Amino acid sequence: MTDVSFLLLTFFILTAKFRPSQPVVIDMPSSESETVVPDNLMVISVDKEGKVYYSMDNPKVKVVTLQNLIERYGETYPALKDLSDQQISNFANVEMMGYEIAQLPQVLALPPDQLAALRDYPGVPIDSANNELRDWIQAGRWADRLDKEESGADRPDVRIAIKGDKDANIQAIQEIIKTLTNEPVNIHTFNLITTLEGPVTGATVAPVAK
Amino acid sequence: MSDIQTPEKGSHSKHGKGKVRSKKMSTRVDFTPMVDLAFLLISFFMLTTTLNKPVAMELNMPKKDEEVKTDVKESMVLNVILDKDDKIWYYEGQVVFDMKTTNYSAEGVRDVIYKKQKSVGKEHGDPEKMIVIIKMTDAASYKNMVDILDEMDITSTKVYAIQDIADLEKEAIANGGKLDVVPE
Repeated sequence: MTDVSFLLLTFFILTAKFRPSQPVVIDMPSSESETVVPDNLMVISVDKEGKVYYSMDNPKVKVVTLQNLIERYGETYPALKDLSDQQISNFANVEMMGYEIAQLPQVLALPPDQLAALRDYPGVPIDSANNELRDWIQAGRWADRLDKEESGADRPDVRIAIKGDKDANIQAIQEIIKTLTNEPVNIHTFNLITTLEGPVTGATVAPVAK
Repeated sequence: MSDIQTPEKGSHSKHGKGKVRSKKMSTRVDFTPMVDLAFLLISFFMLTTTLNKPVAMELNMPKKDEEVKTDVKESMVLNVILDKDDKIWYYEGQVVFDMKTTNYSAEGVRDVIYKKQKSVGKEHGDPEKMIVIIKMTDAASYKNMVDILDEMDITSTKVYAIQDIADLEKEAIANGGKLDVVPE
């Protein structure tokens, strides 16, 4: 019995996927939906104050995304071009990207431990004059497709999910939806990440027959 | 639970007087606390791995270029406007003049939708012809949106759309749900 219990214990410890330390607390709303969150996700998070963050599951794709953005913004912000390869690969450790692109050289120049400890985020700009979120999404999709071609794996493209705090104002969410559905992103199917409705609030009444 | 060591009888007399041998310690170890702990940890990891999964809702927004022109009768439409403080305004048809309020409880908006489903079913033969149009004031929260989409799922409403709120509706909300002038 001891052997078996320890076997089980090691199994669960090893398979337990710890929630990566969330730099920003996002208290998700609950829903009745039981769809499991798909793999290979690009998550656009919105915190209580309506700040927007960009994150991606695959660290390799994340770095390629940054390289793509450096190419695109290199002319506007020359400091981006001075980033070393090491600093660029440090970007893989940034769990949630909540900076303006102009701030990136400064932020990524920090040593990795300080980078991970940073807490003061301004959020990714999404206003129509300077919609950096759109560029992040586009660069992310491009990097994902590149990765897919390289690996030769037959997998679906990256999916986009919105993870909002339940107290977040709806305007920020609508702004994101607009960014997604408008050109050039043009994505009309995406996921909203929620938690499963708890038994306390989930007292549902059986649907009335049609 | 653990074994109690008792000195073997007769050992004393065997070796004669005077020679006191150091007592041999038992090599048996009590495993019970360890197994307890192991099971505690097992239950902890089992619970945390299965209960912490976030779930996802799928949201499909209509594509702009392929405008779906369905034959919509005014009596099929239910307008739902999400306002601040978890308040919902609703009205039927396409003309705002008298909006009522409800909330997110099972007896609130869900009942409203079921009632509308029934009346649409009676009038048009199929309750699935009901169209819910969701609008949000700027003060609504993201939770409200998820909740109302959830209600769509619960009431198995097939056709619903998220639209921008109209000025007339804003005016009506400011006016307590009623418009002074009924628009032509």
